[in-house]
Amino acid sequence: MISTRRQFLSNSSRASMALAAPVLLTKGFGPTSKYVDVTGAEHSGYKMSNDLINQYVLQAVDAGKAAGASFVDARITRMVYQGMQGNGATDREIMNFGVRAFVDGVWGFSASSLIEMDEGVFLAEAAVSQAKINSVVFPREIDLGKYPAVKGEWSTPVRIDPFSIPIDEKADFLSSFNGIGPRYNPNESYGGSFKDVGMQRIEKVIATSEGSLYKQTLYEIDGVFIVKGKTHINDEDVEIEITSPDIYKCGSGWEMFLDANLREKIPELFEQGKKDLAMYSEPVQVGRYELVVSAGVAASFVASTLANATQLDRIMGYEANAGGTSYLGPDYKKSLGAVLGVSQMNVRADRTMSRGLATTKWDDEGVEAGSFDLVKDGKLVDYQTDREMSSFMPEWYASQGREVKSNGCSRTDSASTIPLVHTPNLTLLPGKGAKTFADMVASTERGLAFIAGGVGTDFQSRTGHGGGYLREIRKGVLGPALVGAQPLFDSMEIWKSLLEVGDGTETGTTPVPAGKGQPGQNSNYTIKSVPLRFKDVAVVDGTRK
Amino acid sequence: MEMKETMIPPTQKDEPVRRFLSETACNELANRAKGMAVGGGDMTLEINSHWQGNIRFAKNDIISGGDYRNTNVTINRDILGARTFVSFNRIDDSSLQAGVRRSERLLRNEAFSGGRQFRTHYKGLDSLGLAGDKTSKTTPGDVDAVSALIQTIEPFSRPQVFFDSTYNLQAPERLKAVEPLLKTARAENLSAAGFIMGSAEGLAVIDTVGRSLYYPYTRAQYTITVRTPDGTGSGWAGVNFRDWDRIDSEKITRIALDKCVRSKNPVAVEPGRYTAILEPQAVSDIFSTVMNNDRVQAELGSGPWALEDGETKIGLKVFDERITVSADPMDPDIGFPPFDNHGDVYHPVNWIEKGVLKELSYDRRYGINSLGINKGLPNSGSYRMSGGNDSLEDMIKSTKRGIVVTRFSNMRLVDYNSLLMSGYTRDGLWLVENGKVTRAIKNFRVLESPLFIFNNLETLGAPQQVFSNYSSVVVPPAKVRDFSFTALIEAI
Repeated sequence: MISTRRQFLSNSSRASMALAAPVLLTKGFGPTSKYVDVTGAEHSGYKMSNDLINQYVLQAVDAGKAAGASFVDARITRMVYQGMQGNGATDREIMNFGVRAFVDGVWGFSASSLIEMDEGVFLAEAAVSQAKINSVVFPREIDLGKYPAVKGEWSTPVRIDPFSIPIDEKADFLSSFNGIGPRYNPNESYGGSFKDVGMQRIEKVIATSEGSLYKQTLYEIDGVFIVKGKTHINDEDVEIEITSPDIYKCGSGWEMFLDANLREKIPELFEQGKKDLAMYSEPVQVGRYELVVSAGVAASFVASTLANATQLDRIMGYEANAGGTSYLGPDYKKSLGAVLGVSQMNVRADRTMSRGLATTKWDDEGVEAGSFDLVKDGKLVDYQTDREMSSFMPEWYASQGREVKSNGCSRTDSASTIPLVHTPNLTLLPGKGAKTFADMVASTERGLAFIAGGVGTDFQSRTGHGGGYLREIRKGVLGPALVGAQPLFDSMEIWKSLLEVGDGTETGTTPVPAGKGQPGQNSNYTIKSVPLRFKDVAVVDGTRK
Repeated sequence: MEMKETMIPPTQKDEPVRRFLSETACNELANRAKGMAVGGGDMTLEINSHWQGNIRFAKNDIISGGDYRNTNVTINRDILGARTFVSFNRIDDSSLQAGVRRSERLLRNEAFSGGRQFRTHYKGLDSLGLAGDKTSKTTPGDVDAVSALIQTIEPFSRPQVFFDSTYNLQAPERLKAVEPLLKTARAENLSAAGFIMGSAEGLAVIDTVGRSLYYPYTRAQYTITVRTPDGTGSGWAGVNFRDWDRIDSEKITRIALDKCVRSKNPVAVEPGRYTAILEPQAVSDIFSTVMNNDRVQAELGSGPWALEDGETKIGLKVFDERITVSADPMDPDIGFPPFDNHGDVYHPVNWIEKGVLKELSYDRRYGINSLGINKGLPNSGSYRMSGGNDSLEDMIKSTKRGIVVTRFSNMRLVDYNSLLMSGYTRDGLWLVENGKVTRAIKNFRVLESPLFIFNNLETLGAPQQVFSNYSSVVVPPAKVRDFSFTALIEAI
């Protein structure tokens, strides 16, 4: 039976205290006594009180264990977000308390926005009750394994917490790049501007029934910096617009904006924009081409062919009714050890990458999050797993001489949703190829250069197509931009046609937003890659009717 | 219906834990917030107080059951035309106070920047007898006048959108629904994954001038995907209603099972333009983008409804004359709460009438400023499309060569002006030859615009409720000519 709050409270010594206030109108916690409006960032000037929060999550875990769960975790998350667009700003602060309980192979989950004493007990009882109701009829045999308790605090290494800066100062900074440019040249003018600037800080405190208790503070910063201007080329007025590669969504503090030295780089970017102007463009000739891919675009090949595809829950069909399944399934055992690409192809997953959006010290169920190989010498050797998912792979791990262990991919950015397997940061490791994209272009007799844009795949991560800024390569020189050029590929084949993998001198980093689950939940991760060269990639004309 | 009494859902009255805030609680919350405001001007609170409970299953097992209670508060602070939005989800005094202060601090930043664009057009004030002089220049007085008009209470209808059947869809009831479905899938050696969710919400819009709106509503949804164990066949079905009792989960499961079996081992056919028989879900998946119909955007020259010089396509024929698209909060099938998050009242509307674009959506501020009427025409996203007399079977019978589409997935807007969308067919695609479904075929990537295909209409069928993530949609199946299936994909 589901136990109501009243039933629980009647057994509790705190009953009278909690019932005194109307439910949902009781006092939470916060900067109650010394509320100060001087920093201009008061909502985030304080952080969660460790003592109080720890007490709440521990109370929840105890209640879950007492109610009969074999595993419980409780988390409280506090997300503060500011988005700045010109002079306008949006501002959010969202706190949640979630408890997850495991009973006979079924998860129960309960969450609310009430952060207060005894709420954790109520949530834990509700979570256990749901797990029990369902597992009585449909039990599963799943061993979540034993993991050492983790304790401590960790934060994304940031120099400047964006929420420690008054909003007026941030606005001033962001608008200070307009109108920079040559003062005495009537033919040329340019300046820089920001758009879609966002900053986020998530504080997350988790306790588990194994004795783990840890707090993590995770930062994300985002923005686009655009240099726009006018110039005069060949007696024509030309407008130039170019985006800075140094400003992108990543796990950093406010220093991303400062360290990019934008003021000095504006003229450089403007000159780059002039150079990038394709003097002429042509319709693409449909056919098969050698494709030289810049490091940034290469990252999107990794994302679309491997990120969703190697999540074991997707492969097994857990996401069949949501985002889809994977070309590596449904027999996940058969795909392990399979050849995905040439021997130079190596993909590592990690949650440690500097400024990575999936970077963290511990995952959401008390597993230390490190790095692991997904593709080794062209062979698929592992999947993205959490504790539940790794329990499905004992034979494979035994054959590899490894113990069964979660790869630490459990994640939920808000305590309002149940943790699921989310993609860690991915790196396509350097090979023995050329140093740079430009070098690869120079050594290509005939082909296409895929300079900017990206690729995407279907709901099984299988059939892919892409588009963006592609130029012809003839005898090592970049030719016209090709209108409508769309490379097509099959995820199971494309990596087998890899000719060259950059040696690591030049790398590209791409932030990737992702979502899954029902109800839906989102996460971000970062992909790092080197430039690549593929042989015989089919290219079609996307503009053709 | 009676007024106040219905505002507290009957089931909630005796509940030890209120799963969302009552009208009284919302007003109490708003009163506390109002008392914290400093610096004059107006404040509007939007309160979305929400409960949802769900069950998720996959591979014929229950994976998880969960629930969530949340109260989201958005403070809209408005002083002399400068506005800010701040949102948070805790409602104790200190959190409220922090939220109010944040909005005021952001506002100072806004105000220095000279307010927002709505200061610039005020032609409507005159017809409401509010403009002192006829120049377009505004004075703070005008702004206050607009704000005052907006905050007068518009009468609204009281649709039946709260259902105890949904509110009572707790963990035991969710299991009761899932149990027979999983047993059927197991017995037929197919693999089912699905999701059931019930939710209830109290939506309140309360401001400092005296407007206080509150409405509770529920929503229930059920979706299921059935796959063959080897992954060569996949079928989907789903629907959402306000009233859980209207969802026939066994029937929906049967549809998904049947589609799964019939979609096994698909063969490839050439991509190209085909006559397409779109099941209602497919119609909704590709038509949804049409419902993004903001009048201001069109007047600013952006999107499919814009003409030159600030004119819009209102009054022009944009679809086949058999297409009428309407929305009414009182509609028993697609009913929705009678006002939006800003307190603008929903009115019954024909967005499209016999193929002619009749209305585009706008808020009340626009109505006052530009049309001289003290009302808005917000778009809830829920809609009903007119139908015809053909059944799906009729459509197949009259087709020499065509393709039956269950639904589209991953639909993305490629070009806003033409509403060109790209995506994939998914969970059941069949070739029709000489009036008969002959075989299951492999999925396609599609590149198509609703503006094109709903002008290439052959026939329509009986409208029915489909699944929509955030709204309620009733659409018919449609047979259209020359639908563009651009490339084969391997995904099943």
